This record gives sequence, structure tokens and C-alpha cells, in this order.
Amino acid sequence: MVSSMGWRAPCKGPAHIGLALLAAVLLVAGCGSSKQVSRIDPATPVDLSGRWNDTDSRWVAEAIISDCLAHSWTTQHMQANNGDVPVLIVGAVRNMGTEQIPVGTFLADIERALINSGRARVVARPDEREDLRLERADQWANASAETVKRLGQELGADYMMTGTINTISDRVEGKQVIFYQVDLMLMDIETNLKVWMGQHKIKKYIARDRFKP
Amino acid sequence: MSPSDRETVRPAREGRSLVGRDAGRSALNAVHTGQRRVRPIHSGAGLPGTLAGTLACLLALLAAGSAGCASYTTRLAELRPRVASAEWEAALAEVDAQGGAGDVLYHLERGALLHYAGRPRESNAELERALQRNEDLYTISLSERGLTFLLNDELEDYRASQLEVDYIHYFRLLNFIALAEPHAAAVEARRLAQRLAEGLDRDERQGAGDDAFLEALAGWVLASHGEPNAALIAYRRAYAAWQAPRSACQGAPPDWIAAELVAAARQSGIPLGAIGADTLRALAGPAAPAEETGSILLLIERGWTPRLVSRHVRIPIFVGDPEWHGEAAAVTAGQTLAARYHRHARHGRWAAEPYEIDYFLDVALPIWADEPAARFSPVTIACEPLGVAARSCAAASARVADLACRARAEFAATAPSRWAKTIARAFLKYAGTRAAERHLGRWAGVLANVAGVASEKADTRAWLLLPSEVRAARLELPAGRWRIVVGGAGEGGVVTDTLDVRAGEKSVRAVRLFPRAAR
Repeated sequence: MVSSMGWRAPCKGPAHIGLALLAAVLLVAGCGSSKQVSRIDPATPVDLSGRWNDTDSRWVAEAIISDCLAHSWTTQHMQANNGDVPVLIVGAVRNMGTEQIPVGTFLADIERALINSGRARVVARPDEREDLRLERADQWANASAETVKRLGQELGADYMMTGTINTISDRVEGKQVIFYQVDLMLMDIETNLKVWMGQHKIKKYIARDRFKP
Repeated sequence: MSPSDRETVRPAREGRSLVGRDAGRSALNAVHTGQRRVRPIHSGAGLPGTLAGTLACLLALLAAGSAGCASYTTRLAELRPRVASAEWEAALAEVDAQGGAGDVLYHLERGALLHYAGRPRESNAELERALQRNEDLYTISLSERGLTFLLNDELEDYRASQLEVDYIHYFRLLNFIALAEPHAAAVEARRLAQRLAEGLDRDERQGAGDDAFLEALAGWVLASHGEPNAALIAYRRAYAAWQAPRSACQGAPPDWIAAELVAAARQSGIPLGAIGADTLRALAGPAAPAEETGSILLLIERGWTPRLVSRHVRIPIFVGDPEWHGEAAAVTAGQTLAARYHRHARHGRWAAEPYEIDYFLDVALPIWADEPAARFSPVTIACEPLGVAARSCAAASARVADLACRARAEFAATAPSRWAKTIARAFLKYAGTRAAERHLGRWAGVLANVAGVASEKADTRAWLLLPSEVRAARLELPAGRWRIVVGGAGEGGVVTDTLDVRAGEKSVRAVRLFPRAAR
């Protein structure tokens, strides 16, 4: 638009841009976010970023432990030990991937799945044992004779479970595929014999829009 | 248009400023200058004068109130001096006053601050938030971007640059090492290596080239974690980047990289000939006896990356310029006027042909602060045994990363489009002011101009706490406790650190030399 005054205006309507500026500023002034909080069932899968989350941890632990306990080594152990269920200790699960994964939560999920199955017993991990030993030592110094717990009665584990978590990620623009592979193995502590190996895989496709309103 | 319709100013000499003064012009001066250029038209049609005035006043107040005046670097002017003086709480308070959760830059500044304050776990949490938020910002908000065309660039969420994202991993890696969490440090090293590889594969790293130092650091951490094969890959990429740099910021390879590459190949069981690295054997020298000594990669961070500041420039619109109709044409106007500005910057004149100036656009452009390039004095490194039967030693360091250079290169790659956009926005505001003046009256024009000027500011946002450069030295020390003394003349004295060296182990230690003149 060229006015009679000779200056050039890129807008076509009256005060078009002035009003647009006003609307824009009002938007800025009034765009405070409104936070909403609602409670959801912890078992409900919620995927936000696509990264490893509580649902992955729980599902992998349940699937892989179910596979572990369905194999013949449990039966063989019970036959060889007068029907006693095996005693396990969960050792290190190393994260060999490219994503920071809270391995502690995953170990807890594995222990929970093992214990809840009723087909294996689980003893404390090294860091947990120290607290118990300190407590027993304290009891011997301070607790009554009737209630003090005995020393040297810890249950030795028959098997140790260890494993790795690996990640492969491929990304182009707003598209990403993440592949997680969890490998666990169970070893006889006395003989070093590997009695079971299990694997669980998760593949996720994450797509991000380039634009939003 | 008749000559009497406006005050035409004809240039007596090319390149001379014709209207007002360039420097130190206030918003009101700008309005005044704007009014001088065009005879006002009284509002006889459209909105009543009172309503028009109210509307324009509201616009002005909201624009001024919502946009603020100072640029990012001005608002955080005390941050660097406070960090250099170890005033952590004051520095945190300054950052907190300027940003909030969800702002990438807020998390970056807090992350670096907490890192230097010796709070690695909190630092990592902040840096992870910055990474996640930055990923979320892949999706561009059209409404936010639209606002940046009307008000200023700071209305859009800040996205971390390639350099900044790379150094998020650097700080996180050092934090995990400080926390004695080697597995997490190894994960971060893999994450860093993957990020660097992904960027190079897609040639996304505008102006940055590859970062050989970060590749080498990832290799070192992976080697220390017992992953020689992964380390070998990282070292090879680092060595290749140093040998054939894709940018001028890369520098020369440090002398220890050949030895590390050869050692990683040996541990991986891969003959050097198989990877075309036979020539490195001679460069590597004899391997240190691993049973008696440990290796420390000592990193020394110095200086600050350059600061962006806001510079107000005035770009003329000529009488003979095309009539840029419509909002879309503002982009063309922006490009044309940006080229005009560059011409003036290079040749000292606005145009090759004689010209008549119609109006001066006021534009706030982000430019590098006019600071002399950092000149660092040599760094001294002394190692003193503490209860170890060994001699004191001295070591030399080499610059392995030039962050200042990378920051400038990355900015240079995006500056033309940023400046064109800024100038296009100024043009839109100018046009909006004239439209308001013509249809709503003189005072509406004045207030629209106030709103336009008040809301305009250059986007000077960048991670302020990044160092200017990183130097590295590899120390081979007998096992035991050592005191490491790092000194840089003119940089606040020396930094003393105590470390325990274990035979056969590799570790990383970083020290920060803060500049005395921190601003």
C-alpha cells in the first residue's frame, strides 16, 4: 500500500499490523500456563519422551523372570535339594547403552518378580547386607537375650543373576527408533555353571512433529 | 507525493549519518525522529480518536511490559564475575531471577554453576532437564515464532546450539566422574560419541565441524571403563578429525592421542595395519608400565566464550526502494536491508548509487561484544608426591578445544538469516506504526512506535558459563597420592587438586582457571 504521503505500508487493512501487534502482546501477557495434576494408576503405561521408563522396567522384569522360572533348572534344583526352592542373589546388571537408565529400579523390579512368583527365594544384595549386619551387631550389644538374632545364620545363595542392558538408537530429523535389549543370565555360584540365559527386547518408534500451532 | 509532504534529507556525502545520532538513542528519540520523517495524518475515519489513543496506549504499555528492555547478557551481567569469585549462592540467585523451569538456558546456566560449585548430582539433574527440554523444542511453535516476527526473538523458547549440547554431555561426564560413578560416566561417554557421530553423518553441525577433543574424551572414559574397542573407535574418529579438520577451530592433535590409540588397538587385539594406523606406532612411543603407574587426563578450562550483546543500528530506507507490499514482502525487505547494512559495514556507504533517504529503521542486532580476543599466558602444571617415593614433576598442556572459535563459527552460520529476520521485523513495525498513525491518528502512531521500539531487543541468549578453551595434559604418575598444582598467570592464581593414582588405571580430572577480569 502506498499512501498519499508516499510511504510504503505492507498491510492492506486499516491498522492491520497495529491490531496484530496488540493481539500478539495480549497473547504474551496472558499466556501463563495452567498446571493440572491428576492421579493415575501406577500400572498404567504412560509414554512421554519415549525413553526407558517405569513401564519398561516392570514389563521387562516380569517377562524375563517369568521365562527364567519356567525353565527346567528350577525343577532340577528342587529334585536335587529335597524340594527346596532355589535361593538367588541379584548381582550387577550393567548398562552398556547410550541412555542413562536407573538400574537400581530395574533390579528391584527383578527381585519383586522373583519373590512374588513363590518359586525362588532372594537374599539381600551386598549393599543391603551391610545394614543388616550392623543391625545384628547392634542387637548383640543392646537387645535382650530373648530377642537378639543369631550371628552366622545368613542364607547362602545358590545362584547369581547378572546381566546387561544395551541400547541402539537411530535418529533422523524428528523420527527416532530406540532398541533396548536386556540380557540376563543365572549362574551356579558353586560351579560357575550357567543354568539359564534370557533375553527381552523392546523397540520403540518416536515421531515428533516439526510444527505445532 | 510532493516534496513538501515530507522532510526529505538528501545525503551530502555517502555514508554519513543524516538523521540524528546513531549512538545512545532512546526510544522516545526514535519516536521523535520517526515523527519528523512523515507529516502526521489526523484520524478522521475509523476509530474515534479517544479510543484509538487508548488502544495504542494499551499496545505500548503491554509491549513495554511484556518484552522488557535489557538483553540476556545485560540481565546476567554479574553472573560471570560471581562465578569467578566463587559466590555460588549469589550467582544461583541471579540465574533464578532471570529464568524458570522449562527454559533450556536456565537449566544450562544452573547446570554449569552447580558443576563449578562442586554439586555434581544437582548439576546433572539440571543438565538432563536442559537436554530433554531441548529435544522437546524440536517441535516449533508457530504461534511463538509468529510473535517473534512481531515483537522480538526472545519470545521464542531458546534452543541450545550444537556446541552447547555437546558440552552438556561434557559437564555431565565430568559430574559422573566426580560422583565416582564410572558406569554412568561410560554411558555418558557413549551418549556423547553417538551424538557426535549422528551429527557428522547428517552434516548437521553448521559451522562447527567435528569436535575431536570430545571424541577423544569419550575414548578415554571408555578405555578406563574396560571398553577398548569402543575407545578405539572414538580415538580413531578424534585422530581423523585432528588430521583433517572440517573447521578452523580444531587445532593440532595432542601428542598423547597416538599412544592412546595404539594402546586401545593393542587391547582390542586389532593390528594397527588393519586400521591403517601403522604410522602411529612411532608417534606413540614406548608404553608406560601399567603395573606401576596410572594415567590422568588433566583438563584445564580457561576464559569465557564470547558474549553476544545488543547493538542498535540504523538502516536507511531509500526513496527509490521498491514498494514492499504485504507481510510476505517484509522478508524480501529484510534481506535487502540486511544486505544494505552489510555493505555499509564493509564499505562505509549505504549504496553504490546516489540515494535519497526516506527513513531510518532502528534495529537491535545481536553481535559479539567488542572484547579483545582472550590471550592466555602459558599454563604451568606441577605434580608433587604426597607420601609417594617419587620425584616431583612438571607437565605441558596443549589446547584441545577452542569453544570460543566454535561459538563464533556457529553464530556466523546463522547470523545472516537472524539479521534478515530482525530487520524484516523492524520493517513490519515501521509499517505498523505508519498504519496506526494514518488510520487512528497521530498519537496512535506515536504510541505504536513506542511499543515497537520498546519491544525490540536483540536475542543475545547463549550459555554464558562455557569456557573459552580446554587444554589437556596426560600425566603418567606412579601409584599413590599426588598434589597437582595448575597455574595460569593473570588468571586468579593457582588451582590445587589432590588425587589418588592407582596403578594401571586411567582417570580424568578437570580444573577451572577463571579469568580475573571476568566481564
